[in-house]
Amino acid sequence: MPALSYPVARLIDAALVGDLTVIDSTGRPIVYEMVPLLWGDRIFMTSSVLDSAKIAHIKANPRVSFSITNADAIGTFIGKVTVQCDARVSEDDLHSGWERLLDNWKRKDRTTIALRNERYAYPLVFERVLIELTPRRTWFWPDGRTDQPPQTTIAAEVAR
Amino acid sequence: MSRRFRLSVRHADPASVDPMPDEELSAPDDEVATGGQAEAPEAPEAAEVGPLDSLAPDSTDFSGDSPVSEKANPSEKITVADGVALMAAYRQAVLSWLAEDGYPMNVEVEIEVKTSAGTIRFSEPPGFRLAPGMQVAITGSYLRLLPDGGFEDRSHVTLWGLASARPRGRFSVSPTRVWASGEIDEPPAAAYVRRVPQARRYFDSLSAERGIPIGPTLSTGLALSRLLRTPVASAAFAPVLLGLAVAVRTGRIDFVSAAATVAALAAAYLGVSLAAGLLDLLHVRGGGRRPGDKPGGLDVAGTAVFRASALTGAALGWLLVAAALAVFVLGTRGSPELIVITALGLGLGLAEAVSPDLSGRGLGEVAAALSFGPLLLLGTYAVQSRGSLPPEAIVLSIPLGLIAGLTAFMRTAPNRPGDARAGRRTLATMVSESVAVRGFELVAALAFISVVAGVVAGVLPIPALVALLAAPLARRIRGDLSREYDRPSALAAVVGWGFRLQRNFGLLLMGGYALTIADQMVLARTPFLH
Repeated sequence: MPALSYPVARLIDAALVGDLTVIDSTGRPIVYEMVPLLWGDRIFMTSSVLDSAKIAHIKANPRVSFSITNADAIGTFIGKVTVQCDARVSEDDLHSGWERLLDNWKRKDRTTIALRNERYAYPLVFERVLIELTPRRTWFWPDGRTDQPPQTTIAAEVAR
Repeated sequence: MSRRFRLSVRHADPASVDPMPDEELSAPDDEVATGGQAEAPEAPEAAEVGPLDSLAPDSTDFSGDSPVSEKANPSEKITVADGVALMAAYRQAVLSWLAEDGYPMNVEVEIEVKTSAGTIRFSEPPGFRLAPGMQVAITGSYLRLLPDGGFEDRSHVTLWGLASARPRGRFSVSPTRVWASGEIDEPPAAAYVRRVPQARRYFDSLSAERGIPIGPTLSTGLALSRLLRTPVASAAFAPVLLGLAVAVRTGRIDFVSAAATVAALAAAYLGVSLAAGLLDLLHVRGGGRRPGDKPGGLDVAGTAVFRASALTGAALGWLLVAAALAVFVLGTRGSPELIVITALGLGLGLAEAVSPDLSGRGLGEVAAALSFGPLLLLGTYAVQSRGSLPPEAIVLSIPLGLIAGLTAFMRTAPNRPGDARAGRRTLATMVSESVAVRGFELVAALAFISVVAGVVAGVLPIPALVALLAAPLARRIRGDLSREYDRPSALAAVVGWGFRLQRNFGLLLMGGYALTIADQMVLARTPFLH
């Protein structure tokens, strides 16, 4: 079974934003809104070095979850999902490594183009860390009703 | 002081908020709205949704149980009660907790906010088990979709507390911590400046981890361009070149002193820009943040692309060159008029570029209008004429000054919330939106009318009317100003158009004078109405 079922992958691919939850050193969950960029079975996102606190959290504890809950952010799609993931950060090419995701990002957020043009004005905005999420367990509410039990999927490698 | 927090809510309770997407919620006091953790005032987070977005707790500083959190601006606090009040606008929120397997879990739940009691209630989500007494986070968030794709105006509030079990599978949380952020209140430039120290800490940490120095990749050209404030350059040089153009047209040009004047201005410009960058660098290293940041300097200096010692040497060097050239020009072409103009110009220019005091007293626009209009243009002309100042030069300097004043106003307008909090009384903080928009209309109209009046009166050449081609841009800016005045982040983008207006207006006037000079020299005509 793929790590992400087709309906879940489609939902994540459509979502403009989602909730990335990390755990800080005291065990407290912290939620960040992020643009999810789907690439195969992995979910990618980027974080500017200006907003790098989450990177420290992830490096200290790579166990995260990512949720799509905002109905406004998924257009005509319905459904809600929470994906438990193992996160990895890539800091090898802060200047342009994230640009591999630019086409996908632009598709979700046209203002990115304008922002990229502002690289002149805000150079540190575009020094960005890549965050890669490998899904391991999924809770999916196909009709978006979280007052009902979710469908649960466990990635094959986790199930083994 | 009462402040209002504009919040549009996605899962809003229809009974508590207006269904309009841009609902305004009254904040209980002046400390509401958005904020980061008190323990981590400069730990903005995650450019994920957009490069300049939310604040978030900093892992290194995130501790303690203070019920108070801090906003982007350290002087502005948000209390848990404020956070609960913000949360009351949401009907649904994301419930997060640390599951038994060590992973965080998120589920959207319907919430019931008891503002007076300071509690939030929700039902245990079906399919999950919450342990009474466990720590949970409750997050309400909003974004506004743009009609042509994308989004803006993101805001969110997170409250933390222990979940207490109640009858019938219900839980109640009395939050002890809050973190909120929003894009509406903080313009990108201010957010950027505030976060530079976090970026520096990140690079320091990564460098230590890898054992090699790692920093931002900025081309030298880009870094220099930022440091030298290239958007301002056209404003500085246009009046000088126009002053020389008038001198050429009137046959009073002296090429040696003209070259020395341009060189002196260039050296002074470089010296002042570098000095401003140095001051910004020292300001950031000292842990300070300037809510009413100025373009250029700070962000580049903050990235440690330049060393303070190098900036000091370069600034001093260029200022010495400027001083030497100024002495040469004054010595060879001096006049009482030129001495007065030079003293006024240097004083105002330095004060405006280096110190926030002038703009902090509502005089920044006046200083810019005088500096980038009459003083530079008339000073340049006075060098050539040895003191005499004809009506043509005086009239020509008026529209330039007016447009420069408008641009100066627009630079401070997006920062007015931060300026007001910091006690900086810029003109933008003193006037209402309607006064600001009508003031823009009036001043822009005066600038264009003065060109027309000058031509009609026979003081300015007819080709100067090409400057009217900049009028549509001014009209567009007026529209943007009116539409976006309450949205600092969007208004910040309008500032760029203001610089464009100033540049285009100056270039068009120069084009008009080039035509005039060509007409005189080639066709031996004087293109004046009288």
